Amino acid sequence: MAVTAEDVVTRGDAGRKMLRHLVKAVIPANASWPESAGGPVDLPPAFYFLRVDNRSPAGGDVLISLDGPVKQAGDVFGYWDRFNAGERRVRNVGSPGVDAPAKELHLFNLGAVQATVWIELAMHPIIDISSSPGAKITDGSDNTLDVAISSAAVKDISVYNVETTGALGASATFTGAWRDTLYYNWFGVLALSDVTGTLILDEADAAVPTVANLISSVATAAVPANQPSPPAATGFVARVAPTKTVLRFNRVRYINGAGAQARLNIQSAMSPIN
Amino acid sequence: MKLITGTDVDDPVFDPFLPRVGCGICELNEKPINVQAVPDDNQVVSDEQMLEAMAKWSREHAATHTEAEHQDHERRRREA
Repeated sequence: MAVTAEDVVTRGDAGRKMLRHLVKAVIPANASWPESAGGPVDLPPAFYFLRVDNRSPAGGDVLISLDGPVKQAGDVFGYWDRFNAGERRVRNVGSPGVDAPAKELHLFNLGAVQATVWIELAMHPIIDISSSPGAKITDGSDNTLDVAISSAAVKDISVYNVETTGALGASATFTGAWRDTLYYNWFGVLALSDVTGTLILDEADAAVPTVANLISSVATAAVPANQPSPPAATGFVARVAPTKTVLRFNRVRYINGAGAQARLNIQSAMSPIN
Repeated sequence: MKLITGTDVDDPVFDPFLPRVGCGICELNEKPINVQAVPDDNQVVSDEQMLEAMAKWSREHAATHTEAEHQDHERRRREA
């Protein structure tokens, strides 16, 4: 059964929750976006952070402007930033609480081929360390260096993911995105629902695996008498304690029982501290 | 937004960095089916909207199976 955009998107809904938003911008050669897409696109009303993933073929470099269409491609003051084909970066557009958030997003394709750019927009920081080609300290063989720290506090930079909150039908399965744990040592997950199910943690050597393995499978149990709320003081819970990653990619799966869910909340965490 | 329909969870039609939802009964019957919500070109959607689109599919798909099938799936899930 097909779900139309109208089923799930309320255009211009000011009450829309400010979660991460994703847009796949397809830009003709030497053209501006969204103008080339037929006019304004239903962007979130404001954003402070964006992640740009330019998946275009060679030559499909794009310029970004936050205050109207790119004026002059050859003038570095005529746009905000440039993302070359194959480049992925996260940027903030201002300081929350100090600067005004961005309210417009315009792209210009410098290439003679169609550009395809995936963009995430959010009010809160997007953490994307593992996919960034950013600078790192390495030895001559490109191995990261060990650093001895005797007095400085080491800050935990764990990443917390809301895997899903969509209540599933009876006997349905949920499979989360593969999470790259290149810079994380530990992966844990928690599932809370009003009906029974099974929580599974997988690992694989690549996002398109040649080798995959089931790390843990845990059936939900009734929450204990002293369970705090929210989401509820009754229901079922399964938790996979953080486990040391062996293969680079980890993902969450969940198999629902015979009852349709009224609520489901699955959250995972990746932690670098060992 | 559209729902892409594939077979098993690792069907190459799916983007590995986006979640998907499937049917446990169809999987046991060796006719696996999973769906993945992806934005249409030039459309902005939130994670929440994509997750709800897939969850809605699962609720509707569940009605295509009998109560006996759901109970059998439940028994086999508990035994696994």
